[in-house]
This record gives sequence, structure tokens and C-alpha cells, in this order.
Amino acid sequence: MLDGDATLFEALYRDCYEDLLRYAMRRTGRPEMAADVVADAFLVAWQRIGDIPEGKGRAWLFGVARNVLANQHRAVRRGVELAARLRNELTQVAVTQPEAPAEVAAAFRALSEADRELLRLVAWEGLTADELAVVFECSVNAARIRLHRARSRFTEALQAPSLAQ
Amino acid sequence: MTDTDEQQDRLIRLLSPDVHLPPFVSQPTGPVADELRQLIMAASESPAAPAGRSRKFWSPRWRFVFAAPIVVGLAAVALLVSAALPDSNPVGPGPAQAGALTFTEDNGYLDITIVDPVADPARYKAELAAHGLNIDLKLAPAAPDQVGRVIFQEENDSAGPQIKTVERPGNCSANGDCSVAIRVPLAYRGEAQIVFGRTPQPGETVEGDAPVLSPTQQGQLKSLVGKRVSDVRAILAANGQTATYRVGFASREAAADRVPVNWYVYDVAPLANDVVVLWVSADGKEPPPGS
Repeated sequence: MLDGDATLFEALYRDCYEDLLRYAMRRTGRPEMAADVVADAFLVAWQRIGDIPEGKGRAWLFGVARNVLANQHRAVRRGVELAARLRNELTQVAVTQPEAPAEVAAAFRALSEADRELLRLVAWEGLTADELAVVFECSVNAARIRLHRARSRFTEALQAPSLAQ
Repeated sequence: MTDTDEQQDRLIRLLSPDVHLPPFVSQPTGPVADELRQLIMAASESPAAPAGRSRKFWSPRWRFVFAAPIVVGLAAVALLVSAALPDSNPVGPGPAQAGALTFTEDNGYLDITIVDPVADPARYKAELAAHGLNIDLKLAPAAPDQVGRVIFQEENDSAGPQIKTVERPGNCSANGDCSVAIRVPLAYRGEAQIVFGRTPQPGETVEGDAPVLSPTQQGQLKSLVGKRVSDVRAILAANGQTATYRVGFASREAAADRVPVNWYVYDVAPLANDVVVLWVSADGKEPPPGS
């Protein structure tokens, strides 16, 4: 094993583990499923450590985690359960649904899933447009435009609550 | 981001579920995250790894490094040599006793079980070799939930058919290790060393309790890689640490006075009691198979 790879991976793990875990927990139906998302994302990162674009590790990891989340219902359970302990711990963790103003929730629900995902990644996970470009594998310009459009649609939905129901 | 964007994000955050994670779960250097990280790094090879060597360790408490033969204890272990799927049931001629191991031939694969658990492990190796398998099999004292499980596995051939782990989902340790046996393909042509856990005898310590190092200590350890043996000896002595050496592809233990001081350290690992394992070679690279 090349020493540099291990160091790189460990730094990425240290920087992103908690963010990835919270992201997965916010987005999965059951907290314990978040454990597999985190484990699978970092497993891919370790296996492809040489492919990760420099300085964009966090965004790259979010892209992988998104794919893992999307495929969870098709996931094949590995024999060796890497995330067993984390999964056990997460079954005890409380995830409370928010008490948000009804019109905000309704406006958000009125958006497409693509728009919602984009806005969540920015507002909940703090990703920048540059990072969105890595996550969605598009140009930074394209990411900015998509974000701008999502925001416009959300603003419209907020301003027309009766139409958004 | 404009003010409007900020306002919008604040609204959207109102919709975010609250996640309450205890620190020992959420901290990346905490016990839960650290164990996951170690399992991930052990479970698969980095693509940049040199072809050949793979070391797998199931215990989150790090590696075992064995060189001297270990007197086998009372735990009985099943070693399956098979090219079949895990849930197949071999039927065939009865077992032929051959000393410490039993070999059952069936449909092109071998089931091997250890029938004499107090046999000298060197004898296991000889009997496995008689079947064309270069596998060094050992038992070592282990924590209770590691008894009967594979706790260390080192192979030199990551290209050919691989030694597999037999899993029993209902029989898992607390850290998620569900291995109960090893299945070696008949076509296996590599060298392997496999260690199973056994119940410690009175007075024995469990070797797996290698220390958990702080990031500083880990960094200090890593900085030894690439240095000459003479320099590393001086560093370890200054830190009150003792070195133990491993040479050759098979990681044979070598006495300090047999290791040339102008050799280089190419890998390190910590053991309990301030002992540091140094893998050394003349050119500072991992030795090729057969050396």
C-alpha cells in the first residue's frame, strides 16, 4: 500500500465523515441505512483514491454518496459487515422531523426532486456551486444556472401558496 | 451568494430533520468512525498497492505479526478447501485420516478439517504442502468473540483465485466479523499465512491488543518508513521503544544482529509494550514473492 494513499484517505475521512453521516441520515428513511451509505462511499473512495480530483474530495464523496443512496434498494449485502457497529449505534439515534411553517414545506414539495436535491445540498450540506459541479458532473456554469433556476422556482412557489398545494 | 439566497437557504433549512449524534459516533477519530475506517482500509486494496501482497485483519485492534511457531491450544477449527459455493453440501467418499488434518475429496475440491488441535502448526504446513498448498496455518490466543475466527490473513497472490471467508450471518462478533472458516480454492497457488483465534491458556495474553495510537504517534511511526535501519534503531532507542524485524516476502522474523544496518524500513506496525515491528529490505521496497 502506498503510504501517500493512506494519508490522503485518512485526511479525507477525517474531514468528511461527520458531514457524510449527517447527510445520509437526513436523506434515508431509517437511520441505520445511513451506516451503509457512509461505509460504501468511503469504500469507493479508498478503492479509487487515485481518481479523486485534487481539492474536490468532499464534493466527490457527496457524489458517490448520492449514487449509493439512489441504489440502496438494490444494494447487495456484503458478507463482511463493515458498518455493523455504526449501524448498531445509529439505531439508537433520534432523527426528529422539523416543525416548519406549512407554506414553506408545501412550496418545497411543489418543486421537482432535482430542484429539491440541489437546494438541499446547498442549504443543508453547505455545498458551493463549484462543488455541485463535481457532484453532478457538469460544468460550474451549468451548476450555477441550475441552482439559479431552482431558486427562482422556489421563490415562485413561496409567493403563490394556493397554486403550490 | 446574495441576501435573498441566504434568506432562502434559511427557509430551506427549516425543513431539515434534526440529527442528534452522540460525539463518540460522530467524531471521525472516535471509536466508531475509527473502527469503520480501519475495516475499510483492510477490506480492499488501494489500486496503487503493489501487485502481490494483501494483508487482512479482522480485529479492529490491529494486526498480528507471527514469526515463531505457536503451540496450538484446544480450540478446534474447520478449514474448508473448496471450489464450490458456500452453501453446498459435499457428499462423497469418507474422510482419509492423515495425521493432524483430515482431507475429504469430493467433486474436485478438498474439505480439510483440523482433527488434532494440539499438533505442531509446522505439521499442518507440511500436510497442506503435501496437497500442493503453500499455507501456513496457526492458532493464537484471542479475545472470546475472536475464538474460532480468522484474525489474521496474509497472502502473496492477489491476481489468482483468492482464499475466501466463510460467513455465518448468525454467528457474528460485536465488531461485525461473521467469519467462521476459510475456503481455499483448489487452484490456489499463492503463499498464505492464516491465523485463527483460540482460547488463551492460563497466563497467556491476547496478542491482538496492539496499542491504539494518537495521530501524533501514528505520524511518528509513519516517518520511520524509508529510513535506514541504523537511523530507525537510534530513533526507537531514544523513544524507549524496541524493534522487532521482519524480512523477506514471508515476513520471517529476524534477530536484530542478522539485519544489516544499511537496509531500509519499508513498513511499520505497533505492538503492545512499546514494541515496533519493522519490515526491512536491502532496497527499501517490498520483497518479491519467493524471497
